[in-house]
Amino acid sequence: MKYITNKNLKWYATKILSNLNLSIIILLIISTISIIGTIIEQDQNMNYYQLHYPIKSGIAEQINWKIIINLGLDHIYATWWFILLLVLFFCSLITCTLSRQLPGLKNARTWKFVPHTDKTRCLLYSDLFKIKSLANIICSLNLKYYYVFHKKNQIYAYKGLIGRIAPVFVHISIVLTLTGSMIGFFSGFTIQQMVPKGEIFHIQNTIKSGTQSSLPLNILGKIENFYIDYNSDNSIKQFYSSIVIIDFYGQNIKKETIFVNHPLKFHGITVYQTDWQINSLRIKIGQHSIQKKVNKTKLGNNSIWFTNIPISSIDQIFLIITNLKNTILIYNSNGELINTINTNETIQINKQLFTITEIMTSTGLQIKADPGLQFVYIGFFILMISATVSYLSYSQIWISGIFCIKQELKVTGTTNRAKLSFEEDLRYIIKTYNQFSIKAYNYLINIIHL
Amino acid sequence: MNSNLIENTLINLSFAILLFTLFVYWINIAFTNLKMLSNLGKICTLAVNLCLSSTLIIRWIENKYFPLSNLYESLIFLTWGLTLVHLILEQQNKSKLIGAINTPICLFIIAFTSFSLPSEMKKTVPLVPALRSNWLMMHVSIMMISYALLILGSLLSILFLIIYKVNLKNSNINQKRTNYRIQMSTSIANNSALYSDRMSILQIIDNLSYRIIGLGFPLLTIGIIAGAVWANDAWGSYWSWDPKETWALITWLIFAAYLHSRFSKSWAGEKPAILASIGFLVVWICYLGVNFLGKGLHSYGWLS
Repeated sequence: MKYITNKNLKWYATKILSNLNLSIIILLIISTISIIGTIIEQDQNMNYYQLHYPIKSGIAEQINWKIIINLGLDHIYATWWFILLLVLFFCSLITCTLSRQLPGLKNARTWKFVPHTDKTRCLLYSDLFKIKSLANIICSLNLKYYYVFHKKNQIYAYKGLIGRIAPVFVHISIVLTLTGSMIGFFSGFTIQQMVPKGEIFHIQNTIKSGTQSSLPLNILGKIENFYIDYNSDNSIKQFYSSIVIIDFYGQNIKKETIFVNHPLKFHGITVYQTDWQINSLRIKIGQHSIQKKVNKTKLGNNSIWFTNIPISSIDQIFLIITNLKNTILIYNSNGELINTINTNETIQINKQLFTITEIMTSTGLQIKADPGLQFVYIGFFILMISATVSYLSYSQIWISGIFCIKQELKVTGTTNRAKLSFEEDLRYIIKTYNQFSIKAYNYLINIIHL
Repeated sequence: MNSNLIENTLINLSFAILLFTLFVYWINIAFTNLKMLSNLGKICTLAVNLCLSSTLIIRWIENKYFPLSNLYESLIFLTWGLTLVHLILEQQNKSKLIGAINTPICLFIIAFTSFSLPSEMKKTVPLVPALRSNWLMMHVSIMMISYALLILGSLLSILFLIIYKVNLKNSNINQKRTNYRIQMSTSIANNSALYSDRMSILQIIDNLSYRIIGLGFPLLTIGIIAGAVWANDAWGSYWSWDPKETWALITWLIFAAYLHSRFSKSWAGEKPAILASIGFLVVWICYLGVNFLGKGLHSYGWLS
């Protein structure tokens, strides 16, 4: 064991991590685990799993709730072994970039003018040019947008070097994105709050927070208004909440109306419109004002809200709200529709004046801070560009007139991706070269004959 | 005339043309090698593309939002994308294979769309609040185009696998396993004496599939990222492990593995093609299968 020194160990680790097969296998394992995560419902309570995955003796029912809970399959994307796998993936990306891609780029520069003799890497090989003219071949290469280098009897031409550089940036951007999401995981927080219309709220009721996060306690918010836009078929078009952000001294700092797809951004925190509910009705009966809580229930695909109000010692009425736009329906205890009412409209029920002064609603807000977001977005941006540029194929052509008999040129070429169009390229280059040569030949013949 | 009727007529028309195009391409590939047939196929595909474009545009004008909000519209858009990709690739590569493979898929999707989908799913309903964003156009259209490319590319890989296996069988019988490739390449290459080693039909299919997937992959990346950025604006989280998201990631990972396996020496041969064929399945699960889970924010409302 004396051979395993520190340096050796480092070398071994690099070699294993940067192994292409390992990274392919990691990719496949991550996807397999993700598949399991979509089959087994995530983040449910214990009862759910006990109900859906009971312990049975059959071979097909080997997956029962005990296994699910023990392995953490109920929150698969947050288990330690999945995170560990992501860390492994992360390390593999970095080592691959440092130990393979960057040295490979260096090689790409030093290969110039080296006569390419390694046959296995050659895609095409031709020595059938009849007339040797380096000027003509350079011109033909230029027509296909190759960068051409010329030294004595040798030519080196390349195209699409950026397609070889871009994968490095793909890896870097993924590393950046993962880092950003880790920063967000450790120092971000998510809050969900139901705030009644007109009320002031603190930033509290955390549902998710990282170990390094801190809630901004010196900020208050006020819901000035909450309203809903409806489509003509009574389905909801959009939810709106007007929010005012107030600082510690009661000064208004920012005022904005948020809706789904249009959050409020403020000092690194973002406020989203996510939910809503009807809390209660403010009703005036005779001279008395009361506040009555409503209950929500589902009727087919639609939600309705209802409440009951006793109007005498034996009789009561039911108020039914279908949405914030329509009139409120009033039923008697026999289930018959007796009247409809709008807010602030006064009617008589049982010889009493009856007014609904307000439908009291709450808006559901999600408040989030994610310090890693900018890193994630920069990562996304680089990833989009570099992944697209990676499509380009890096092609190299070597042309040599050294070891040739008579007037011939040796052509060798290789490309890393687009073999088919590289073949077309070469065909075109040789065609134009021949045309040029024939033209030059004819021109010379003409001169001689004249 | 009623716009609904026009739509239906256009869809039926594109179905008929596709059926005809299928025969054109298959006859062309099986028996003859007529330039006229190739051109006819191209014109027919263009006609289908235009039919589908007008269907989508009519729906767009009628409903005043980009027609990608339900399964019916997205299937039509996918077919539109497939024909578009087909036309572009055929223009570039001049390969008859793309048409021969793409047309049956398009035909199948259109048939499914017009015959199997219940009519209430074709109806337009107003967009839910979360979809009211310009991101809808960006995210969904890029995703659909990338699906189209990946479907085509992985289908070519399946074709590669089939030919490869059949060849292997034949050459095993004839004990000429090693000679086969050379025979193949010389028969293709005899029209050009310039090269000592031109690509065989297998290599051509392989490289074509690789390039098409290579084009679909960055689009998938952009699509997923657009979705993530949109999700961050709409739901407050750029990644929430929703089933559709997860399957899009799985698709991404599988094709990333495929693209990397092309560089690995020990994966040479048919193994990358097997990965791409798995990718074909995964794309379809990602696109349609996730609906059967009946949950999440991307559901087209198939079962509910």
